Amino acid sequence: MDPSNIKDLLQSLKMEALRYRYVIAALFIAVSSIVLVAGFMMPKTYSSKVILYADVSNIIGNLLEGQAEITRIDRAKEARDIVFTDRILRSVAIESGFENPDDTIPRLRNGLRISANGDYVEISYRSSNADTAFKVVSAVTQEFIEETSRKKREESRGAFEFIDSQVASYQRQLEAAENRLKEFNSQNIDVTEQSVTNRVNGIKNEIQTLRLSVQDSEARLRSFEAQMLTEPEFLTVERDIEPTSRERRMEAYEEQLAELRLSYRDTHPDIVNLKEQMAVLETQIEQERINNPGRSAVERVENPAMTNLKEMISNERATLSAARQRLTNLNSLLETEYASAETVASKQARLQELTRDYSVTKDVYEDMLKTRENARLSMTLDIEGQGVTYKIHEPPSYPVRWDGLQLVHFAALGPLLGLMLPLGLTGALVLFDPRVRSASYMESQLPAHVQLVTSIPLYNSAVSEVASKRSLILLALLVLLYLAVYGFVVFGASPELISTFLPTL
Amino acid sequence: MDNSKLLRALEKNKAQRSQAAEFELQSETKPVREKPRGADIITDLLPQEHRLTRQASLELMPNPDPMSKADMKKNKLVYSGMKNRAVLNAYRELRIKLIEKSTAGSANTNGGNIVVMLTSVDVNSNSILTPMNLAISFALDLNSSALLVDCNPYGSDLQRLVTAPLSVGVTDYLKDRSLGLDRIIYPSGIDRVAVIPAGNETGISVEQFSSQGMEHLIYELKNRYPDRFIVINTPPVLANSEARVLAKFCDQSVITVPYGRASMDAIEDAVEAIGAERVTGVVYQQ
Repeated sequence: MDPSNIKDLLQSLKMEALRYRYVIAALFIAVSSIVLVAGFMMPKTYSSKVILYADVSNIIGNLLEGQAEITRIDRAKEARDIVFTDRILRSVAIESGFENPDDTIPRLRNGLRISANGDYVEISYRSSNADTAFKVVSAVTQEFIEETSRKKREESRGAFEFIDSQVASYQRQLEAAENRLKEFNSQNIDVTEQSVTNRVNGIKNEIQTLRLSVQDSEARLRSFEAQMLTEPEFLTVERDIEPTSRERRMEAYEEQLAELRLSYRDTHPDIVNLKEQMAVLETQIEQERINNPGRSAVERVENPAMTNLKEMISNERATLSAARQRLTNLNSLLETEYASAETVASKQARLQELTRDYSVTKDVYEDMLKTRENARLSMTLDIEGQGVTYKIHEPPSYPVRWDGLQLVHFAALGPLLGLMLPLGLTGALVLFDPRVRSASYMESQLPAHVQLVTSIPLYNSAVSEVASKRSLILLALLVLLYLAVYGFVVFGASPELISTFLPTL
Repeated sequence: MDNSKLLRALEKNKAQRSQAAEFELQSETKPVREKPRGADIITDLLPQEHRLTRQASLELMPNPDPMSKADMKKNKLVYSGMKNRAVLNAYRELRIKLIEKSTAGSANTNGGNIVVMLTSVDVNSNSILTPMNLAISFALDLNSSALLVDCNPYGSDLQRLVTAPLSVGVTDYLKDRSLGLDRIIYPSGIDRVAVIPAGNETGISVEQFSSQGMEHLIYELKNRYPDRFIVINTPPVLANSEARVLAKFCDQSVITVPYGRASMDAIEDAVEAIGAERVTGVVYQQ
């Protein structure tokens, strides 16, 4: 659009507005008053809200960080889960003074809005009555806080009791495992392979030593017995007898021979003589001896060696039989040890199993004990109100004004719409009405063979041309009067007054 | 009596034909009166060269009851020296263009009078204000006069715009030729502007206007005084037939388009109805 068109358009708008001034004024009054009446009549909803603060950061919580279990949940969901139960809603309905509590539950459920921003939970309720909204929100707040603290205590107590019972059962298990292990240990002392090997080696060594000593004993016995055979039972003791003359001679001869032989050969006649003499003497001596055997003094006595031997042999025999007996015993013991070595592996496995059973049960039990202490602490905290508590951050507000557009807004909107609608209609008329309202437009649209000769402007000003001044002044007065009444209705009259006044119309 | 006056003017103009070259100066300074030669005005169809000089009729037009400027303003009539010059200038421009148009095609450049028909595309408008103003604008020239012929038999507001009481008019004249022309020409109260009302015999106006008598009337009115411009007001072209039949007798036809009254289609229909060749142009009226 070029500027002249806009100018034409504005001029046309002015003309039409002046032409339809009565319609415009009537529309203005009608629309604004309809809007105002709509503002009065509009069903009003009042909403009341409360902001609760889920207090989790307390001194004890900080001190026991990571130890005391404080449950963390989505606050809005938690609050919704609690508040939207029939039980709570029913008691809310009763507290709020509804006549039929059961029937109001769905309404409460629809009207209640619960949202959370971090630890801040907002509960709001909309109602057509400010009192109701306030009462409902107050009741919900009270019920909710009571319910949460009760639930919290119950939860903690339940958790503690559960853990406690678990602890007891683990304790029983632990005791059983301990007993089994003890029993097994008492039945199978030294079931290690090492101990068995040690024992076997010891026995083997002993057996070897014993065998050696047995052999010694046997050898000794045999030599004793052999000696005993050779040893006479009695000993012959000879007494010393006086030599005979011959014998003395013999002795002298022999001395003589020895001396001779130093100087002479055996062939020396002296020696030969001597020898002869001696041989003769010898024969005589022999003769004499045969003739006189008694002449030698022999005495028979018991052999003391023999007695000794006998004693030793009997000792040796006793020792030997004892050693043999011991050897037999050791061998059987060895056999037993071998047999026990075969079962030691399975026993070992059993022992390990029992030990493991025991230690696992013990660990769990100890953990449980710890957890139980934590739970006890949590429970204590909750009972003393030191856990998560909802505090009223912003108390329930009594709605003094209804939701949405207030009367003032309607009052402002009314004249605005009242102006916009007729002016918009006028604009639409100018824009969409095919009748010619602009010389330049007409000129551009005329067929080529028809020309625009001239354009005659208005004789007077548009105001006096189209509308009489008097009518305009009258209209203005009327509108002013209307606005005065309007202003009085908006600002001078309270909604209660109007709403009691309106039905009587 | 009027007839004799007119005849006098005729004679005077004849006498001054030779002085045509300097008539402008003379018309300003010393208008001359002469006794007209006795002749039948209806049948005396003068050739172009025998036209009367322009100043002939001027002093002959009585204005017994002049309209005050306040009344003119009230009636939304244009007058020289009016405050809203734009309106006056627009009518002047219209006048100039009409004269230019009529002289453009012919050799006659001395600015002879013309017959202009005005009709509106607004079917509900019976106002004669614009034709009246056009007539006044013709008459603004001290050397020219104007005659507004109201051919709208359906009741226009002509009486409101003139000071003289109106009675018989063009339809009465056409019905009864014995009525003299001087009976139907009334002073308007504005200098150099006379009017002929529609009259009372409006029953068969279309037929009357298309009759030969009408043609003769217009011819005579035009040719009686060369300085008298004839403006014919007709009822809305799209609602009535008068404009169509009258357009044939007129030199120029102008269609007025009032603000916000007619669509482009209506304007084209109006042009079509009158005949595109006869339509000088359209005038937009704010």
